[in-house]
Amino acid sequence: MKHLAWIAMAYLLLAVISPLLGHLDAQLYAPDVALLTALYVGSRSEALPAVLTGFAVGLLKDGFSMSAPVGVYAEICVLVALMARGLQSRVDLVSPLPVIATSAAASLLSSALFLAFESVFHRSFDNHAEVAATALPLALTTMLVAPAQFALMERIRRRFDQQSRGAMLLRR
Amino acid sequence: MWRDLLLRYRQKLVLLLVLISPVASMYFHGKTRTDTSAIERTLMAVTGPASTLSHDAVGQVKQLLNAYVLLTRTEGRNRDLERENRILLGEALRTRTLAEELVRVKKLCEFKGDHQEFTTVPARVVGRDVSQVFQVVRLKIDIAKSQVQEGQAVITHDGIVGRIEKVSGEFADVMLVTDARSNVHATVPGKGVVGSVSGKGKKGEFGAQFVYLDNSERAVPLASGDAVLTTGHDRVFPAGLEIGHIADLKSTRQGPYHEFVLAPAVAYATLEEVLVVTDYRGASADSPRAADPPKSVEPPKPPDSGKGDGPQSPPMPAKFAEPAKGQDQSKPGAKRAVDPANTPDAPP
Repeated sequence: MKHLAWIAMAYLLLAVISPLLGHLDAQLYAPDVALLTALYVGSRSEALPAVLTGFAVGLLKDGFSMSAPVGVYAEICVLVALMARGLQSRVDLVSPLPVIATSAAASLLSSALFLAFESVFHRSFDNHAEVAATALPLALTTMLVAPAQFALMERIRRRFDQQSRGAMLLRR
Repeated sequence: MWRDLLLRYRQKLVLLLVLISPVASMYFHGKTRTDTSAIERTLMAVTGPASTLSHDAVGQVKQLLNAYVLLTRTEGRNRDLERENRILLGEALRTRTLAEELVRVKKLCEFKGDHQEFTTVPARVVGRDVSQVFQVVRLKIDIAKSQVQEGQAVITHDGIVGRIEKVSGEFADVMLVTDARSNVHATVPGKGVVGSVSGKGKKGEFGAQFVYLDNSERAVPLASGDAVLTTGHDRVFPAGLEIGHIADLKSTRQGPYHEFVLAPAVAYATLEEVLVVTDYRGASADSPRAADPPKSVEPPKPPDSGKGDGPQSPPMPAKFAEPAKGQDQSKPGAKRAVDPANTPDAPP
């Protein structure tokens, strides 16, 4: 249930961020909320739900994105979720500094993967320089937004955990 | 067997599917196509409404912010314009005041040029008496202040103002002709009457009383609006200057004399620039000083008295020249053209 809530939250954030930054002429500095969702879910969930949530969020971003081939962001988010799942036992993604550092690294990885997938699969893609140039600003904005989004998702997780605990107590 | 395998590797199979399906999708959608796929349509249907809603909402918020920001700018701009407007209004007022002053000064200069027979000194009105009884204004004399002395006449291009009552340095107090203490020898040209004009001494009711002979004695009747001029016989005011005009033909009888209310020729309330008559040719040579005030105003004796020691009336201005028909009436010594001030029951 909480995974659905995270997906819904990502959906809302994706829906709001795109026009908001469009109006502010700051599309280049849009934080990658789908990536952060996948990162958080990967660090807090089992492999299958994390991957499925990452896939769903990535697919939503594919839906909001109007130029990249469908599946690019889904694949990136799935890979990031798997990476976060692998880092679960090594990095503590609770305190802000590790969250910021991991988010920045994940964003840079995401840009690299995006460039790779676009180069391989998108026949008409020729904006390599632009993607490379925006990788760093994207990583900076994403890492700045990461602690806030992680806190929000943590809040949702706690809410659902409390509800499930209450339900278990009621069943007993 | 397949079922057992599926159950055992279900998780890994799903993971593999989730990893492979985007790649397949990328491969499929990365090709140059002209049609929209079912997946794309589905994604557009899912994300489209949210995009529209959020776009509208963000647009409205932005519009609200812009309106607020614009309103703030408008308020600031409005303040600037109001300040500018106040400055411009002040400048316009100053310009209008200067233009009015210029017109007045021009008229005074023309008046001075037309009246070479007397010497004048310009002065400005700087104060008015706050008394309820006296009608006095204060002048500031900027040039030739040493020539200004008590008793001298103060005039404008419109008519007479009063006489200097006190002098102190560059300031002089002028008793207006509307002051109750004022008495000016006067005539109505062409009507064969002379008399004296005395002030009423009321604020807000500028005027003077004109005392003259009985109506039955007059060959040419008086009319409302008739100009009342100075005769020069009082040795203060040069002859031919306007005092005022008859405001109302209704008169108050006092013995053989009638009192008419006169409207002053000069607007005393808005008086700004005046001329002080320091010398004029019409003053008699036996006077100690040309414009010295008489200790007591000595009205002129009628010529038929045979003495002929009264001051001679200077010639009237052309605009007030008497008509030929009434010339015999206006001449000094004409039938019953006796100055009432010269009679024993003349008012003070």
